[in-house]
Formats: sequence, structure tokens, C-alpha cells
Amino acid sequence: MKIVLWLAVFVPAVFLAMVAYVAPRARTALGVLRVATKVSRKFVLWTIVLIVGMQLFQALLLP
Amino acid sequence: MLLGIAVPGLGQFLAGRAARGIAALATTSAALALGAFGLGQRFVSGELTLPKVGLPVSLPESFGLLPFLVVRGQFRDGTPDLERLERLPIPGEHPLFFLAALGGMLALFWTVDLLWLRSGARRAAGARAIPPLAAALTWLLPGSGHWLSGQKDKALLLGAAVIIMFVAGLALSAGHAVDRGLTPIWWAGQNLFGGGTLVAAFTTSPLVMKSLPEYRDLGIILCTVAGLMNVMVMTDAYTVAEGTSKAPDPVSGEVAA
Repeated sequence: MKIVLWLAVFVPAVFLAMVAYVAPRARTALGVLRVATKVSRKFVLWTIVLIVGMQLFQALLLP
Repeated sequence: MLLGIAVPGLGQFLAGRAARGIAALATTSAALALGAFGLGQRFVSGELTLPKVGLPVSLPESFGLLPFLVVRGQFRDGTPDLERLERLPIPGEHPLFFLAALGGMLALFWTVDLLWLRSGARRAAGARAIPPLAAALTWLLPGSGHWLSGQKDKALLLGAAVIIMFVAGLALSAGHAVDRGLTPIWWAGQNLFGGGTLVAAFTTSPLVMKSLPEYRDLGIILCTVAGLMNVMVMTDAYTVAEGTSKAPDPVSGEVAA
């Protein structure tokens, strides 16, 4: 899948999933959005780190 | 809880709520039987068999175990003719699949009702929503449980999140992501957002697939994720409603834990 499509689907999907996931942590929509943004940012960053790490691992160690 | 799943309504009956128990058994059995007999042999399609025990399992229909086993007992399998009938799609099957699944989901919600009754909760005078009802309504329309409990802005946000995810899945798969006949296991997850599968049963599921859409797999996953997201929303709707609907004990004045 092209990286643009991946970003266009994965990032909003993670954000929407996090909105539902963090719902119990806040009483208002604004509170939910605030927590969801924070958690999604962390989730996406870690995903990128893992993907880059795996690509590096493949490039350096695998024939 | 296991009792509630095994025989819908029995728990309520034993708790002295006979009318509620009869309603649980009647609604669960009626939905399941109407769906199953409308589908005929097709009802058996997509079924799993528990290894060693040999018990047929169909999700979510098996959640009402006794009605499911009684209804399932009316169908035979094993011959090539019956197997052909199982695999052959029938006109108007999608709403009937939903109806059969509704039986299983109702058994689950009646079990939640039993848990709520057993927790000693009573409905407060100013309570806005009964927790099991809030959860059941959220199954059909995400956010409606929060709306009933007064958290209207959160209701709109959560409802939009689940619906957007489901619609995105349908759009990416050109409407072929939700199909109980073709992808029964995924459908079980998608059906956790009942309103979505109900609408799809009448609109997109009957569409004929002329060619395999490029992102059909992605669409199936997104619709299933929407269903799983709705589990979180239902749980929160229950908790929020519980907070607003537990009446204080008339003697101690405390709210049941």
C-alpha cells in the first residue's frame, strides 16, 4: 500500500479508535478529544519507530 | 452471568422478577427462531464446531445457548444436498441473519440486566437511563446511551467516531465489507455495532460483487474495528448511566458499589 494511503487511513483510524478507547477517562467531548490526541500521537510515533526499526534491521542484517 | 447466557431470563426469574424473565426468554427465542426458520438450512452456514465436545457455535446466536440449541436441533447436516443448501445464498437473507443475531445479542443484554439487578441497584427518581438499556441502545446507535444520561457532547463525539469508522470501511470496500454469508467471523465483530450491520443488511450487503474491490480487506477490518470500538462505547454508556441511575439505599443513604 502506498505510504500516502497508509497515512490517510491509519492515522485517522488510530485517532477514532482512541476516541472510543479513552472515552471513560473524560466526562466531556473536549476532554475525550484532548486525551485521544495525546494517546494517538504516542501510538503513531511508536508505530513509525517500529516500522523504521524493522526496515533498518532488514537493510542491515538480512541478505 | 453464565446462567443468564445458558438460559435467558432464568436469572431474572430466580431473582423474583418473573415478568422480566419471561420477557427475556420470549424476546431472545422469538428473534432467533424467526431469523433461523426464515433462513432455513442457510442458518447453519458459517458455524464452528467446538473440538471434542462437538457443540455447534455460531456468533452471536450462541449467546442465548438454550434457544440456540433448540433451534439448531431442528436442522440436520452432513449430506451433500444439505451442504449445498447451506452455501447457497437466498434472497433477503441479510435482514434474516441480523434477526437471528439479534436473538444472541438480546441474550447478552438481558444478562447485563441480570448483573445490574444483582448489583442491588434500584432506579433513582431522577435517573435518566437504566444502564442495560443505555448499553443496548448504544449497540444500535453509538452515543445514544450517553445522550440519555445527559452527556450530549460526548454522545455526539463517540457516535460520530464509530459511525465514521464503519462508513469508511464500507466506502473502501465499495460496500462489500459487511456480509454474514461470506465473512461470518468478521461479521460477528462488525455486529457489535448493530445499527451498522442492520443498515448494511438493507443497503450494501445485497449488492452484487462484480469484481473484487481493491481495498475490500481493509474495509472489512475497519468495519470490525468500528464494532470493537462500540464495545468500549457500550461499556462507558453503562458506567455513565450507572452513575446517574443508582438510587441511594433508603436506610443508609449510600449508593450501592
